[in-house]
Amino acid sequence: MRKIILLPAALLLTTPAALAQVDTVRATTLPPAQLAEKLYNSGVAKFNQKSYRAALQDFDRALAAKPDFAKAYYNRAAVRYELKDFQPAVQDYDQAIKLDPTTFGFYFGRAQAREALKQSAEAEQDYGKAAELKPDYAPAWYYHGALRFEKADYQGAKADFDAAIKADPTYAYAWHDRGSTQRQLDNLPAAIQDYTQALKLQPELLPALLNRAATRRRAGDLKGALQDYNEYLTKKQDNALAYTNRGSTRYEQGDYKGAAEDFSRAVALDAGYAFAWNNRAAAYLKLEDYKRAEADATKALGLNPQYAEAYLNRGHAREMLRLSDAACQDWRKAAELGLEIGNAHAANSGCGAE
Amino acid sequence: MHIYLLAFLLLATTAASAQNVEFSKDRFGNDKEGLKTAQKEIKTGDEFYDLDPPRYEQALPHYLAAQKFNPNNAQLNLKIGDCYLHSGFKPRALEYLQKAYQLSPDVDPRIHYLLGRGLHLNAKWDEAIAEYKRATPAGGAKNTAGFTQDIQKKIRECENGRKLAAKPSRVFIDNAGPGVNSPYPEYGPVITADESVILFTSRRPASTGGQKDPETGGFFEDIYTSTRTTQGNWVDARNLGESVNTEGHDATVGLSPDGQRLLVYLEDNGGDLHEANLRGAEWRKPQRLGSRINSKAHESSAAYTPDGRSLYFVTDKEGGLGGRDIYRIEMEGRGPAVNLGSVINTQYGEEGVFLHPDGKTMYFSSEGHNSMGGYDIFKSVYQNGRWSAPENLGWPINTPDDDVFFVISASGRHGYYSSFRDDGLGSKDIYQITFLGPEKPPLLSQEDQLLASRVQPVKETLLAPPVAIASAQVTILKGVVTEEASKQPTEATIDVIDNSLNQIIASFQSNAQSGRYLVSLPSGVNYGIVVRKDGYLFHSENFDLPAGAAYSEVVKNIALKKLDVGVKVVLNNIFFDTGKATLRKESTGELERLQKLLAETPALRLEISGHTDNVGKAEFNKDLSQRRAQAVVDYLVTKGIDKARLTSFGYADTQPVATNTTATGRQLNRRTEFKVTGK
Repeated sequence: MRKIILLPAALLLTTPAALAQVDTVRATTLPPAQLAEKLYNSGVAKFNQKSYRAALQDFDRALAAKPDFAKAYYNRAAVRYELKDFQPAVQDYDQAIKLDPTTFGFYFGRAQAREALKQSAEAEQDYGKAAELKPDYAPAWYYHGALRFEKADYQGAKADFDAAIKADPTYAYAWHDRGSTQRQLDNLPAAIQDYTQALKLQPELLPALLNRAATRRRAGDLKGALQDYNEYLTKKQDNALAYTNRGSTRYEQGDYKGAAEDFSRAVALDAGYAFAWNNRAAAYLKLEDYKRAEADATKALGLNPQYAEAYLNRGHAREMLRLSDAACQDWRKAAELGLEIGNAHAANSGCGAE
Repeated sequence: MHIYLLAFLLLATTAASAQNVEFSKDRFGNDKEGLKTAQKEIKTGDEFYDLDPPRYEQALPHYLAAQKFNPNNAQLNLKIGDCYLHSGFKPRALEYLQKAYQLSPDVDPRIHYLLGRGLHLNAKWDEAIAEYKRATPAGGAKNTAGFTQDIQKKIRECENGRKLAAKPSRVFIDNAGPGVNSPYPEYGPVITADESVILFTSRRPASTGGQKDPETGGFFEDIYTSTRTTQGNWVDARNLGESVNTEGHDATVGLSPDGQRLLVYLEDNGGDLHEANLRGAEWRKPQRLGSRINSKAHESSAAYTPDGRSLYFVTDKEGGLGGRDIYRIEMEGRGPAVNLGSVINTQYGEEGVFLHPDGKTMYFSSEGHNSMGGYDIFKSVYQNGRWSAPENLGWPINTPDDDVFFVISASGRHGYYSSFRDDGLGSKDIYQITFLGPEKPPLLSQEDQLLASRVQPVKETLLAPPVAIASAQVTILKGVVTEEASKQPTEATIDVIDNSLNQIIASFQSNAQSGRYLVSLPSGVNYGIVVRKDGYLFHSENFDLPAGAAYSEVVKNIALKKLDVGVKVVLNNIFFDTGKATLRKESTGELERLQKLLAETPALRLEISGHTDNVGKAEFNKDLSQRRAQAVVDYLVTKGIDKARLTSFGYADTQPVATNTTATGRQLNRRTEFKVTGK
């Protein structure tokens, strides 16, 4: 059950099956007329064997035999979800809810299918209903909170994560995400505490280390941030984001050489990671290696032609390379892309007033 | 065993290299000729070195020649070091002084002070302080107060230098190139506000009279000029000619923003300031500025205010705060020059004053304030009736040596000064400083996987810190005045008027030959610009520049029209309340000009017309333009102009002079103008 709560992918794979198993009825005790139930049970068995097409047929036949069989709709929806037929899955959940509007699982299942269809508002509504019907079911609160977080409703998200933690105080994901919510609300010490608790409950939840590091960095504790990044990177060396963010912390510490090394490892791991190229350009600017800075910013722009920061940084490099016209163009492009400061730089460097 | 031998040999070699070697037959018996030549060089060098005052630059080549023969004589190294300390290339002194001390720690009682100077001039702040401290006379020593004060000041300078060098100014410093510089000394650059013309002093062989100054051995100073190409290079400089340059020293001091008036320094009467005017392509002979400015003391540098009516100048006359001080004087007035006071002037020397075309930012050099050594260049802004605390322009513009005679373009983008640098063309050269503005912080990007159940990271928006805007607050208006019919450039008077006060604040002439003019308009005033010439209709322009308006350069070529029937003139300085026909008081000057024109030309008949853009209802615009034209006519009639000579007409938007699709175009279309209907 812990896996179900903690890992959404696992939940989707196993939740409907688990519920179906609970509801399996022994065939020997069935009265002769219960054809639909037999087909239903067969469908559940096939689902557990991952024979989704065959399971689908069984549930179809079960529903043909008994059109008001709510659980069969529910399980067929689960099969369809597995087959990534999300819209038909939603329709089956609709039917199940129509037949039985009091089972929280139906809403929870539909919420997941609607999320897959990127219908966030509808999914949020369904998670809300599931939580209302079963307030001690922590995942309903958790996913409700995640959707609110994604629409930047951090106060609402925090209330949801509070409820999830109340329902299940060992729910590491809820602690973690409440930490992120606190961070967005600028309650940095509270965020650090929540991340720490998440790590205590689930030490292998490594993103918590990265997020605690970033929060510590924002709180001005660069040393603590570096400790977290270092710990993460001793455990996991294949994450370009982690190297990039440690590099940024080193940069902030004034260790531009160390920063450039981290950004270099990030681009070695993922040459398509524009942030790492841009940040290395920034480090090279500080190291007064303007040619490399220009080349890196250009690389970042090759990956993302709308990357305002990279235009800005390339402008700085080009100014120092005495390419003043090109620098002016870059700063103005950065401003055009939303970094208003680009215009200030252009004005300060006499762009257009030569 | 071998290691010990090697160590011994190394020690022995070091000891030998650190031993003083005399110029004696004992040591150089094998090369008597070489020894004799070297001794002769030293003797010649000593003749210059021992003069009062010593001629270090003339002694130096002789000492260096002797040094080639014997590089290990402590006294010679000391003298070379001392000569370099008094030359343009002062930092070169250090290696010789250090060697002199290494060869003989007792080479000279001044050695620690000289070492301090050498280290100081090489920006080795902490080591210099240590040497200065060693050079400080013991407490109670007689007649040492002045020396001790000097050392204490130099220690303070090193401390200033350490602080300033830790946060260098963001600049490029580039040699102004061979168009301006030569292997001989160039200095004292002065520029027009738009940097299109430079004038400077040079001591190159082609100087007027071709004579050398017996005191320094160099050619006499002459003034040269060059113009800037569109690529930013200076064309080959030409001598200003005998109308300005004499056989003696002639040095640039200041230039008006339009480049039509030049301030020249001549060595007469203890050093006086003179003024030359450009008429067409020829500079007139410089005239000495009056006795309110020049005294028997030394007047050495000066700068015009942008209106050309006042002068800031430097003099060491009695009554100052110590050394040379900066004063301000109204050139046409009668009052005495006013010392700028202790915010600017110190007990030490001030020199090289320059006023930015914004009229409120002054650049000057001072040995006081927080100089890092010698004269440093400072900036101060006149705000709310007082000068701000001078701000050191910082390293690397300023150095431990003298940094003087700095000028800056109206845009604030480029400064010019002269300096001895290793990348020079020889001797002192003119350098262009490009100001890069405040530091431009790079921007990093960061994202985090904020939700444990989501794979997609969330980008963190890190706000870039705000940056200061360093734009100059002045508008440069320039162009060419021509006569419309002949298209020929012409000399005309350009009046700059403060519309709110209805006062002419400055008058300039366009150049008689090129027709060029340039006026600098500091922000914060509604300016009327009137270009006038006898026999022509006046031309008016308006520049309403709110306080804080950033630098801009406007090119406006003006064609003056003869008074003929059918000629139209836009009255750019007539203002109405928005949507009304009420004349604003800022219009008074323009209305008076019109009244004067009518009074001076009795046969003149005018149609005054009102024009609008195409915004709003046509009927309203028609009515408004008619009422506005009539308001002008009514004003003139109340001032005694016969109303039979005037008609008014509201054209609304039917006679546009520009597109109505842009704000600028619409602004040009909203206008009042007159047409000559009879003369």
